[in-house]
Parts: sequence; C-alpha cells; structure tokens
Amino acid sequence: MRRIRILPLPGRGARSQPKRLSNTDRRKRDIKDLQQQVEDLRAREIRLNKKAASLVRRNIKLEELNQIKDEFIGIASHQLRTPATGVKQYLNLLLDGFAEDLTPHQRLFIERAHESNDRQLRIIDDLLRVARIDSDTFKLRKTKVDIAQTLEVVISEFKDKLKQHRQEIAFAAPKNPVYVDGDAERLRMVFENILDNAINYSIAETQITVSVKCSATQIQVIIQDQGVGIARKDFPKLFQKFSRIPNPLSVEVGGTGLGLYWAYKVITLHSGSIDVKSVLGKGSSFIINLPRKKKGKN
Amino acid sequence: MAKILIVEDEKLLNEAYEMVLKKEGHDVSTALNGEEALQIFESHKPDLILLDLRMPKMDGVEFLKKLETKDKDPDLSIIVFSNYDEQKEIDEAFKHGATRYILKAWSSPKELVKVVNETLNPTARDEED
Repeated sequence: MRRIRILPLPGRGARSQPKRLSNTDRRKRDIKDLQQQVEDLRAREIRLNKKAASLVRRNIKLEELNQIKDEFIGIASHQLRTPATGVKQYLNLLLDGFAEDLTPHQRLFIERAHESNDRQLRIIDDLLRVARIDSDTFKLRKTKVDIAQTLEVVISEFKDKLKQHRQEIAFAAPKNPVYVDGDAERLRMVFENILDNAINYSIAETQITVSVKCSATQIQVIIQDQGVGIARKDFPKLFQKFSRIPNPLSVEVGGTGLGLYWAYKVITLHSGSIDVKSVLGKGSSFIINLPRKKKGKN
Repeated sequence: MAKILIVEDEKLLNEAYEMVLKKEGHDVSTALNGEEALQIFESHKPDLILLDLRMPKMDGVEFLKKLETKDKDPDLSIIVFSNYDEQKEIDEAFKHGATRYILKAWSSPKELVKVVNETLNPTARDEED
C-alpha cells in the first residue's frame, strides 16, 4: 500500500508537517514552538524596555533643555532691559528739555527713537512675564477683586488710544460688585491685553463691546470687536506661545505672540477658561469665565 | 531741598537721576550697590532713598533688612525702582520698609522728580497740577 503524503497547503508555512508524527512528538513539537514564542516575546520585551527607558531619558533631557531655554530667555531679556532702559531715560532727558531746546526736526527723530525703544522694552517685558509664569515657582497673589471695577479702570486707561483710533467702547456690567478670588494686577493685565488687541485689530469707526455677566458660581467677561477676525483654522494656534496669526493689520500692529499665551496661563491658573469666537472679516469675541467668589468669605 | 540717596548699579541711570534731582535743588549722593549705600547712609543721613532692587554685592532687599536694624528718621521715605516681573521682590521690599515703588523703564526722570517731590511734600501735591 502506498502512503499518501499530505503536502502542506500553500501559505501555511513549514510548520504544517506530514501527518506522520506521533502524539508525543506532536506535543514535543508544540512545546518547542511555545518555548520559541516565549523566547521571542522575552527578547521583544527587553527591546521595548530599552526603548521605553531611552524615551524617558530623552524626555527628561528635553524637559531640561526646555527649562534651560526658559532660563536663557529670562536672563537674556533681563540683560537687555538695562541698556534699553538707559536709552529710554536719556531720550526722555532730551525730550523733557534737560538739554538744550530741540528743533522740531530733532524732536521728531528723537520721538521716533523713543517709540522704537518703547516697543523693545515691551517685548522684553513680555518675554520676562512669560518666563516667570512658566517657572515652577510662580504663584498668583490672590485678593478679593471686583471684576467690573477692574474692567472700568482698564477701559479708562485706553481713553486716548480710542480717540486716536476713532473707536468706542460700550461697557455693560451688573450694578453690584462682582468678585473673584484673584490676582488683581495680573487680571487687569489680561483685560488690558485683550482690549488692546481688540483696538489694534479693528479699523476706525467701529465699536468694541465689553460685557460682564454673572451666575451664582461664574463670572463671564465678553470682549467683542468688529475687527479683522480670526479664521477657524487658526483658533487652536491663538493661545500658543510665540504664535502670530497673519492678518491685514498684523504687520502694522507688531508683537511677540506672547500676550494671549500669557493671558491663557493667567486665566487657567485662576481655574477659569478663555475662548474665542470669530468670523473672518466680521470681528472676534473673547469669552473669559472665572469662578465667582463665594459670598460671606473675605 | 532734601537729602536724597540714589542706589542704582547702572551707572548711566544713576547719573541721569542724579542730574535731574540736583537740578531741582536737592542734595544728592549716589551708591552703586547696597554695601556702598549703607556706608553713605551713615554719613549722609538722607531724607529719601531711591533704591534699585537687583544689584551686585548687596541687593535692595538685603540693604533694607540691614537698614531696619539701624537708627533712622521715622519719616525716611524709600522709593524702590522695579519692573513688571519683580512682584516678589517688590513685596519683600515693602515688608522691609519701602514706602513706594516706580517702574524703572516706564517712568521718565521728569516723572521721577515729580514722585520724589510728592513724597517729600505730600500736601503740595494738589498745587502741582
């Protein structure tokens, strides 16, 4: 009798063998197979562990580098500020008449130098502010802050700029004080920043609306302009460090792309949120939510 | 006229402030750090100190701490020069005797003179404007 050989089916690989094996052999083969698999898995585990360790190391290294970068920005900016302040103060001496009288031409040129130097100092301040808020030791200085009053003060500071830009601000807030447990100075600067953007990115004869609304637990501030607006695809970039979104006015306005990042950080540290709604060419709204201070606590 | 001590490590700024305050008729002395300032304080007995916070050798807060242990005029005014990002240092300075602060990069020498005069004669404040 001829034995029929069963050929392995194509694609089954070398393991499918002729059915000649005894049960014991088959078991031995299975065990060997399993042992091989275990070995493979072990080798793989070792490789993965090594890779994980190297990723952890790399991550630590990157975090260190990031920290060094922040420190570098801090130190460099601080070093830049001293000579820039020197320039500012001597230009001030000239403009304020501490030297001889200036001709109109001289005054114009010095005023321009003064303006450039102002910009330089503002950038340095921005960089240092961000370096500070990103550092591990940063803390808010919390007191009881009346948000409506804070906004009123900020708006009044923009009086001259609004006149220059021929713009108006409409302000609506509840009559009674609305308190948050917050960092007065930093919240003031956040509002200043967003309002400054609203003015800078709007053309003349437009209106900006600032409104404050309250629920039992939340205070909502909306700053709405009729400016150039922001494309939806740019929303996620808006609150990122160093991001500047090109628009018809961005070259003219200038900036470091740090203001909104800083604002976002400040609001987040207050357990609040900051969002944007905008239609390109129609205007933008910045919506800030802050937890309302509970009554009866000082 | 009052006796004013300027403590500022940036020589050019120190000179600028000295010039405008002398022009106002004040008796001005200068120091480039806290250490120098302590020595001058003893001999000069100023009515008002203009104090930078970040300085080599002895910084502003350290100077104020040393000053606390000294015998001094209760009316002594101390105005600190500071920057936006130095809130922590400003707090410390106020804890140890500073009475006012001005933002160094954003106040002109002319504005500084105004603040100094206001501090020295609080009642004359309204007449100025």
